[in-house]
Amino acid sequence: MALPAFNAEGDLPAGLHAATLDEVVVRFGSGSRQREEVTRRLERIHRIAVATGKLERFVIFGSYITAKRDPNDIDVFMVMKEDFAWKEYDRETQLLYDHLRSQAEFGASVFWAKPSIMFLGTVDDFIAGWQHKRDQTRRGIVEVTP
Amino acid sequence: MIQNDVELNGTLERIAWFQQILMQIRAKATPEDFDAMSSGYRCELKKMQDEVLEYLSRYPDKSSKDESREPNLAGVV
Repeated sequence: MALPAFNAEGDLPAGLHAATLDEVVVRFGSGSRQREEVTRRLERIHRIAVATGKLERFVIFGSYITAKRDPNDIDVFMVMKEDFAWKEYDRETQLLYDHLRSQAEFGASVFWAKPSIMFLGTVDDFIAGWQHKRDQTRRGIVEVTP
Repeated sequence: MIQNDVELNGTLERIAWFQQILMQIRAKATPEDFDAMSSGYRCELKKMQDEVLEYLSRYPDKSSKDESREPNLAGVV
Protein backbone atom coordinates (compact mmCIF):
# COMPACT_ATOMS: atom_id res chain seq x y z
CA MET A 1 0.00 0.00 0.00
CA ALA A 2 1.35 3.42 -0.94
CA LEU A 3 2.36 5.77 1.82
CA PRO A 4 -0.31 8.44 2.38
CA ALA A 5 0.06 12.10 1.51
CA PHE A 6 1.21 14.59 4.11
CA ASN A 7 -1.40 16.45 6.14
CA ALA A 8 -1.60 20.21 6.50
CA GLU A 9 1.22 20.15 9.09
CA GLY A 10 3.56 18.40 6.68
CA ASP A 11 3.36 15.13 8.62
CA LEU A 12 2.12 11.70 7.66
CA PRO A 13 -1.36 11.07 9.09
CA ALA A 14 -1.25 9.51 12.56
CA GLY A 15 -0.70 5.78 12.52
CA LEU A 16 1.93 3.16 11.71
CA HIS A 17 2.51 3.01 7.96
CA ALA A 18 4.25 0.00 6.43
CA ALA A 19 6.63 0.34 3.51
CA THR A 20 9.66 -1.40 2.09
CA LEU A 21 12.98 0.42 2.23
CA ASP A 22 12.77 1.02 -1.51
CA GLU A 23 9.36 2.64 -1.07
CA VAL A 24 10.71 4.82 1.74
CA VAL A 25 13.65 5.93 -0.39
CA VAL A 26 11.44 6.73 -3.35
CA ARG A 27 9.09 8.77 -1.19
CA PHE A 28 11.52 10.55 1.13
CA GLY A 29 14.97 10.14 -0.37
CA SER A 30 15.29 13.18 -2.60
CA GLY A 31 14.56 16.89 -2.69
CA SER A 32 17.78 18.24 -1.25
CA ARG A 33 21.38 17.19 -0.74
CA GLN A 34 20.75 16.92 2.98
CA ARG A 35 17.85 14.56 2.36
CA GLU A 36 19.96 12.43 0.05
CA GLU A 37 22.72 12.29 2.67
CA VAL A 38 20.30 11.30 5.44
CA THR A 39 18.85 8.66 3.14
CA ARG A 40 22.28 7.11 2.66
CA ARG A 41 22.59 6.97 6.44
CA LEU A 42 19.22 5.24 6.67
CA GLU A 43 20.22 2.65 4.07
CA ARG A 44 23.46 1.95 5.90
CA ILE A 45 21.73 1.60 9.27
CA HIS A 46 19.05 -0.69 7.88
CA ARG A 47 21.64 -2.87 6.15
CA ILE A 48 23.59 -3.32 9.37
CA ALA A 49 20.47 -4.04 11.42
CA VAL A 50 19.18 -6.64 8.95
CA ALA A 51 22.61 -8.28 8.79
CA THR A 52 22.45 -9.09 12.51
CA GLY A 53 19.75 -11.65 11.72
CA LYS A 54 18.02 -10.51 14.92
CA LEU A 55 15.95 -7.56 13.73
CA GLU A 56 12.24 -7.86 14.46
CA ARG A 57 10.90 -4.37 13.81
CA PHE A 58 12.45 -1.26 12.21
CA VAL A 59 10.53 1.97 12.66
CA ILE A 60 11.38 5.43 11.36
CA PHE A 61 10.02 8.51 13.12
CA GLY A 62 10.86 12.20 13.28
CA SER A 63 11.52 14.81 10.64
CA TYR A 64 12.88 12.51 7.90
CA ILE A 65 9.38 11.23 7.17
CA THR A 66 7.86 14.70 7.02
CA ALA A 67 7.76 17.42 4.40
CA LYS A 68 10.76 19.14 5.98
CA ARG A 69 13.22 19.89 3.21
CA ASP A 70 16.41 19.29 5.20
CA PRO A 71 15.98 16.80 8.04
CA ASN A 72 18.92 16.92 10.44
CA ASP A 73 19.25 13.22 10.99
CA ILE A 74 17.38 9.93 10.91
CA ASP A 75 15.41 8.77 13.95
CA VAL A 76 15.00 5.04 14.27
CA PHE A 77 13.50 2.65 16.80
CA MET A 78 14.27 -1.05 16.53
CA VAL A 79 12.93 -4.11 18.26
CA MET A 80 15.59 -6.82 18.38
CA LYS A 81 15.04 -10.50 19.12
CA GLU A 82 15.36 -11.51 22.73
CA ASP A 83 18.61 -13.41 22.09
CA PHE A 84 20.31 -10.52 20.31
CA ALA A 85 23.79 -10.08 21.80
CA TRP A 86 25.12 -6.84 20.39
CA LYS A 87 28.64 -7.32 21.74
CA GLU A 88 29.12 -10.42 19.60
CA TYR A 89 29.09 -8.44 16.36
CA ASP A 90 31.71 -6.42 14.54
CA ARG A 91 32.67 -2.87 15.54
CA GLU A 92 30.37 -1.18 13.02
CA THR A 93 27.35 -3.08 14.38
CA GLN A 94 28.29 -2.38 17.99
CA LEU A 95 28.51 1.33 17.20
CA LEU A 96 24.97 1.29 15.83
CA TYR A 97 23.51 -0.02 19.09
CA ASP A 98 25.25 2.53 21.29
CA HIS A 99 23.16 5.69 21.02
CA LEU A 100 25.84 8.31 21.55
CA ARG A 101 28.35 6.56 19.31
CA SER A 102 25.72 5.98 16.62
CA GLN A 103 24.97 9.69 16.57
CA ALA A 104 28.61 10.42 15.87
CA GLU A 105 29.21 7.51 13.48
CA PHE A 106 25.91 7.32 11.62
CA GLY A 107 24.34 10.74 12.10
CA ALA A 108 21.31 8.97 13.49
CA SER A 109 19.31 8.87 16.67
CA VAL A 110 18.90 5.16 17.35
CA PHE A 111 16.70 3.66 20.02
CA TRP A 112 16.24 -0.06 20.50
CA ALA A 113 14.68 -2.55 22.85
CA LYS A 114 13.71 -6.19 23.12
CA PRO A 115 10.16 -7.57 23.45
CA SER A 116 10.67 -8.23 27.17
CA ILE A 117 11.13 -4.48 27.72
CA MET A 118 7.68 -3.53 26.40
CA PHE A 119 5.47 -2.27 29.22
CA LEU A 120 2.49 -0.84 27.34
CA GLY A 121 0.81 -4.09 26.39
CA THR A 122 1.95 -5.30 23.00
CA VAL A 123 4.97 -4.35 20.94
CA ASP A 124 2.53 -2.51 18.64
CA ASP A 125 1.29 -0.43 21.57
CA PHE A 126 4.86 0.49 22.45
CA ILE A 127 5.73 1.38 18.88
CA ALA A 128 2.64 3.61 18.69
CA GLY A 129 4.18 5.78 21.43
CA TRP A 130 6.75 7.09 18.95
CA GLN A 131 4.02 9.03 17.15
CA HIS A 132 3.62 11.62 19.88
CA LYS A 133 4.85 15.16 19.25
CA ARG A 134 5.61 17.76 21.88
CA ASP A 135 2.51 19.73 20.94
CA GLN A 136 0.51 16.71 22.13
CA THR A 137 -0.62 15.76 18.64
CA ARG A 138 0.40 12.58 16.82
CA ARG A 139 2.15 12.15 13.51
CA GLY A 140 2.56 9.06 11.40
CA ILE A 141 5.57 6.80 11.64
CA VAL A 142 6.85 4.27 9.14
CA GLU A 143 7.75 0.64 9.69
CA VAL A 144 10.18 -0.73 7.15
CA THR A 145 9.01 -4.18 6.10
CA PRO A 146 10.95 -6.82 4.15
CA MET B 1 12.93 24.57 22.10
CA ILE B 2 9.62 24.60 24.00
CA GLN B 3 7.51 27.50 22.77
CA ASN B 4 4.44 27.45 25.01
CA ASP B 5 2.62 25.65 27.80
CA VAL B 6 1.06 23.15 25.40
CA GLU B 7 4.51 22.04 24.33
CA LEU B 8 5.60 22.08 27.96
CA ASN B 9 2.83 19.65 28.86
CA GLY B 10 3.65 17.51 25.83
CA THR B 11 7.30 17.39 26.81
CA LEU B 12 6.43 16.49 30.41
CA GLU B 13 4.35 13.59 29.10
CA ARG B 14 7.26 12.45 26.93
CA ILE B 15 9.60 12.66 29.91
CA ALA B 16 7.27 10.45 31.95
CA TRP B 17 7.12 7.93 29.08
CA PHE B 18 10.90 7.77 28.72
CA GLN B 19 11.28 7.41 32.49
CA GLN B 20 8.94 4.41 32.40
CA ILE B 21 10.98 2.89 29.58
CA LEU B 22 14.17 3.31 31.59
CA MET B 23 12.53 1.75 34.63
CA GLN B 24 11.56 -1.22 32.51
CA ILE B 25 15.06 -1.51 31.05
CA ARG B 26 16.52 -1.43 34.57
CA ALA B 27 14.16 -4.20 35.60
CA LYS B 28 14.39 -6.44 32.56
CA ALA B 29 17.61 -5.85 30.60
CA THR B 30 20.63 -8.09 30.99
CA PRO B 31 23.83 -6.56 32.41
CA GLU B 32 25.38 -6.83 28.94
CA ASP B 33 22.54 -4.91 27.31
CA PHE B 34 21.82 -2.31 29.96
CA ASP B 35 24.24 0.48 29.07
CA ALA B 36 23.78 0.30 25.32
CA MET B 37 20.01 -0.17 25.39
CA SER B 38 19.41 2.58 27.95
CA SER B 39 21.81 5.10 26.40
CA GLY B 40 19.36 6.49 23.88
CA TYR B 41 16.55 6.95 26.37
CA ARG B 42 18.89 8.53 28.93
CA CYS B 43 20.23 10.94 26.35
CA GLU B 44 16.79 11.96 25.13
CA LEU B 45 15.49 12.27 28.69
CA LYS B 46 18.30 14.64 29.63
CA LYS B 47 17.68 16.72 26.54
CA MET B 48 13.98 17.09 27.32
CA GLN B 49 14.62 17.86 30.97
CA ASP B 50 17.05 20.59 29.93
CA GLU B 51 14.45 22.00 27.54
CA VAL B 52 11.86 22.11 30.33
CA LEU B 53 14.26 23.90 32.64
CA GLU B 54 15.18 26.37 29.91
CA TYR B 55 11.50 27.13 29.27
CA LEU B 56 10.68 27.46 32.95
CA SER B 57 13.60 29.84 33.34
CA ARG B 58 12.08 32.27 30.85
CA TYR B 59 9.61 34.84 32.17
CA PRO B 60 6.32 34.15 30.36
CA ASP B 61 4.60 36.41 27.86
CA LYS B 62 1.28 37.08 29.59
CA SER B 63 -0.21 39.30 26.91
CA SER B 64 -2.15 36.42 25.32
CA LYS B 65 -2.58 34.08 28.29
CA ASP B 66 -5.02 31.23 27.66
CA GLU B 67 -6.39 29.93 30.99
CA SER B 68 -7.34 26.61 29.38
CA ARG B 69 -3.69 25.89 28.58
CA GLU B 70 -2.33 26.00 32.11
CA PRO B 71 0.62 23.68 32.77
CA ASN B 72 -0.39 20.25 33.94
CA LEU B 73 1.59 19.70 37.13
CA ALA B 74 0.30 16.20 37.81
CA GLY B 75 3.14 13.76 38.12
CA VAL B 76 5.84 16.38 37.75
CA VAL B 77 9.06 15.07 39.30
